[in-house]
Amino acid sequence: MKFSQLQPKIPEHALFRELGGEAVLLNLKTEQYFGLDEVGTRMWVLLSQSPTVQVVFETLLEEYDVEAPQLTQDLEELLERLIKGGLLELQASS
Amino acid sequence: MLKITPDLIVLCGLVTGAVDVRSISPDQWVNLVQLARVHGLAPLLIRVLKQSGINLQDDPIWQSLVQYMYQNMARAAMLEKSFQDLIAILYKAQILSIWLKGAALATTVYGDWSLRPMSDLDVLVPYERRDEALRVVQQHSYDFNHSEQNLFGAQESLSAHNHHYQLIGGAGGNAYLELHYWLLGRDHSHLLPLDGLNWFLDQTETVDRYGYPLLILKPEAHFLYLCAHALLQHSEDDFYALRFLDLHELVKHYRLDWEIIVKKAVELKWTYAVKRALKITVQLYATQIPETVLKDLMSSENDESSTRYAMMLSGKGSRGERLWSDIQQIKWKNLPAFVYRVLFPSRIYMKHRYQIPSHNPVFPYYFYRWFDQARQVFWMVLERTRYSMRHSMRTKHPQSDWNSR
Repeated sequence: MKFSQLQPKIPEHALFRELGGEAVLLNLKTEQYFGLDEVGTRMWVLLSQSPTVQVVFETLLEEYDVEAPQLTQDLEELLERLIKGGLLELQASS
Repeated sequence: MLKITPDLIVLCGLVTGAVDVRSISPDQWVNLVQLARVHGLAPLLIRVLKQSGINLQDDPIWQSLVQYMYQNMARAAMLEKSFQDLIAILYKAQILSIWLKGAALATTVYGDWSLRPMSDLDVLVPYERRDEALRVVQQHSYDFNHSEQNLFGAQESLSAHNHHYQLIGGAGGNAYLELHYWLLGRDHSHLLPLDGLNWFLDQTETVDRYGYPLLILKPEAHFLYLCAHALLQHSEDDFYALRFLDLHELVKHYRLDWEIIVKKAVELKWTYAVKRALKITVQLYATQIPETVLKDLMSSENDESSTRYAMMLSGKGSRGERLWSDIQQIKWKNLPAFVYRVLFPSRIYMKHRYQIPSHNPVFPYYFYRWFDQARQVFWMVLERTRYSMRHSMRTKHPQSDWNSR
């Protein structure tokens, strides 16, 4: 999986808000927001807490009834969108 | 004119849980969703729908609601962040700051900022320290907000007789802040004399949130203010169901001392506003209030100036009417600044008002603004002319209409 050994980092201009399982991410610099459904919200919460993307992947694989290739695709897709939207940075893990 | 339709009553029943979601037919939802958005009730409707097990992502009927939900949550995130920063800024400057309306209610009564939509943050500071408070927030990214509702952008010219400064700044530069130094605008010293204002300044309590003491009005004082705000500031002509939901939630959340509310309403000459606000709240949300309250308010009612004011607003509270009344108060010496602000509001305001992408230059949008303003003036004049023609044909005294409602 791409990014697996990288560490997720949330930039200061990204605001997160959750209500009733769904969430929104707001980029204060661009004023763009990004809606997350329940699974997306869980992914984000794990990204904000985990030392590497690989840990996020493994946790999700345990929590959800999903095949590894499908999860890889979904997680990579989300990561790319978040990075493109300036809502997440990936850095080499220390 | 107040527009309480059967669908609005159903919607209000839905958000308070009095009406069961399953009793609504699919055809009804289109209108109910639209009404919920218009009246600021969408977040609570979304919560009720979710609690009923409805997945909003499943059916296109909820599409606009989902879109609204994310937009509202993003706005709530931005406003709450700005709010937290402002609490710290004003606390460190040692300026007494009382948070009003949405910010106070979202924190205490609604429990989540995403559930109580708001367009701005409202804070009250002592009148004599208003300019100091203004300077403090200006040092922290806030600037005057030159918006339409704000006389096409010339509020500095009007601050002498206004009741707040309207500012924009904070998180992402997009948080609207109303820095109040009086509680009611337009004719404020008449509707709320200095003694009355001082009473409100004394009626505060501290809530422990965000790491700094957060000052809000005591529930009874907030209740009174919200009634006056709904009826004397906005009028029934500018009806918004969320204002009355705030009252309902205050009644539900606290054990209000109705004796204080009635006594103070009489002293402030606000009995009409409080009575009317309560009646609307009960009509919309079936709010439980002691039977004696309305009777006490009615028996204390006399020929109050605020009654006449509320009636006047309900008949001719159009935006153009109010705007014209405000413009007439601008002093000649302030006129050039006013005209300049009308034609060239700040870049930050332009970006927000016309949703200019961050990479686009702002200047070309001024041409669109001038066209847009001219168009609005045209419609306001037309509205005023229609109003004059309609009312010149009336023979009844407005009071007779009012009592029949």
